[in-house]
Amino acid sequence: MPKRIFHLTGIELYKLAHQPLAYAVFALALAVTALTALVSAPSATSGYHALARAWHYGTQAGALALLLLGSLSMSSETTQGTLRLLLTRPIHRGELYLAKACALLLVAGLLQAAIVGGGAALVGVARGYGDVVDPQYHKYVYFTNAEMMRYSLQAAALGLLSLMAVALLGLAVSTLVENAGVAVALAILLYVPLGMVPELARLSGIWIDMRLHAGRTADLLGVLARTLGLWVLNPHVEYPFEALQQLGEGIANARSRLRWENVRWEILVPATYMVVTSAVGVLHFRRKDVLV
Amino acid sequence: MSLLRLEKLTKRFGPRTAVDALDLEVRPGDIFGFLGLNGAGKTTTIRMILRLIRPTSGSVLLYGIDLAHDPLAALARVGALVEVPAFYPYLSGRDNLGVLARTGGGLPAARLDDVLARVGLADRAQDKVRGYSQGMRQRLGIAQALLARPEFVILDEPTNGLDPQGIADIRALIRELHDRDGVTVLVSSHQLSEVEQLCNRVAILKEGRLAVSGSIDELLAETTAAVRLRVSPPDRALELLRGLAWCAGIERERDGVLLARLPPERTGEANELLVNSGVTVHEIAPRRMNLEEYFLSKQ
Repeated sequence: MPKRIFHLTGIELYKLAHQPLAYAVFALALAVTALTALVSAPSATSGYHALARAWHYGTQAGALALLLLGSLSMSSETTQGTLRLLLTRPIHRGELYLAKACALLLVAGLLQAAIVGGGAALVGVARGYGDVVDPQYHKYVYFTNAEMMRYSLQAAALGLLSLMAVALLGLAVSTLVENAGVAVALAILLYVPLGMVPELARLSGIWIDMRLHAGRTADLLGVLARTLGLWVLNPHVEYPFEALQQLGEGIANARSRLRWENVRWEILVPATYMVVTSAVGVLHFRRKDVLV
Repeated sequence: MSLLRLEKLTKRFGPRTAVDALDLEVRPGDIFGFLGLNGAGKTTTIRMILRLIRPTSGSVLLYGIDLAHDPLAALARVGALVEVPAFYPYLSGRDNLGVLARTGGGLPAARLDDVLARVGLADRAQDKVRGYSQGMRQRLGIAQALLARPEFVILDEPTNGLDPQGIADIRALIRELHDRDGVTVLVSSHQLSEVEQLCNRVAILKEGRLAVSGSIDELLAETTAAVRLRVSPPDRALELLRGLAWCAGIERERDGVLLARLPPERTGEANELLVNSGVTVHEIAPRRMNLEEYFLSKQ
């Protein structure tokens, strides 16, 4: 079975390599990375702040583009009829699904490598790296270059995990919905607006308390917002780069954001997304009637 | 032994029954016509045979293997074109075949060229499919079905959208596949004259159920209920035949030719009467329905 999945993954990568959309995904993510790398915060004392911003926005753009690619992965095959063609060949449906998942994970890896490598190279050339120091008293070092490098690698690894989860979310939606356009819309709806729900819950709690003098609404909705925020994927894509950005600004407390007790959620939640969406996708795909 | 056997095959979509307890058999060496109006359940049945759709109940036995238990071994010996041919538009015709070949486990590169030549696409093999005409797409779809040297080919509406020359080409190709390569073919089509020329056996589906199935010759032989006569003078013959109690009706087809609805076993009696009454009978022959008339009579 692993050999067949490996073989089918090669075919999926071959198809992706011939699709202009795959190149557009890379172009978009790299353009956003480059733009933010070159225009961000000249006041910062080290290039790490610019690097964090470049990675942050590059990964956000990459996540959206990857979501698009993932949500078209199965649905476009359904819409153009090639799925029924593939399934008339002697292959297991589960293997085909896993091959598509592996191909998307590889693309996510390449994309993250391009964002991280491209961003790092550009910032290195444009601003250079070094210790993060106090802007007024340059002798006071908040974080050394070596420390920042370690934090940067940590953030990049966490970002990759989130990107992979986004790609697999797109694939699962693409299996559940046959129409390519609807699949893309639903995947974006699940990713972007849902990411705003925790913040909206928190703000509405404050608003209700202010208007109605309710007192406890903000607390209750705050708890709800935190719980929701924990399990909504979008903030987890941003989290490591926001933390890195704060470190780049010399905010000492930000160090705790990359400690294990906080970081474990940044691993657990995307990993849970990957497992759950893949399980739902495979189970549905194996039983699905191909009517188009 | 049957090559394909459907046993009480049923598919329901919610409250609607698309295919209802269908029993069907395709034998090795058949060119089997699968007929029915739109929505009769032909494509749903074909999709169940190819395990694209899960049956609600019943079974599909391909080469004696129940597809519910071991579909891959049986499907490896089947090629199919289901409805509209499907391709990756950003790949060439040859690359499309390459993807399909590799998905099925791989084939020698020469096989791709062979099959492209066979459907007449060798000179356009490197062109992107998005630039292909409808006829070329249809031919490439058939090339996909033939790619893995199948012993059994299922063609769902293979002549859809083709001009008369294209239809004749596909007919010749199917005939060649059958006669030269010994491939068994199941073909679903609305081109009833094509089916009549091509197939030895047919099944007609009506509202998801099997209306009739059997050899075309046998089915149409049962429909002989009229006799065509070329006579002179026709008016006298008309008058004489109208006088027969067992003649259910008579009409002029054209000058000198009459079509009389007589029981076939009494044709000799009618001939004797006409000759004895001074009518010259140039020709007398039973007239049976063609497949189209037969098909419509079953709807």
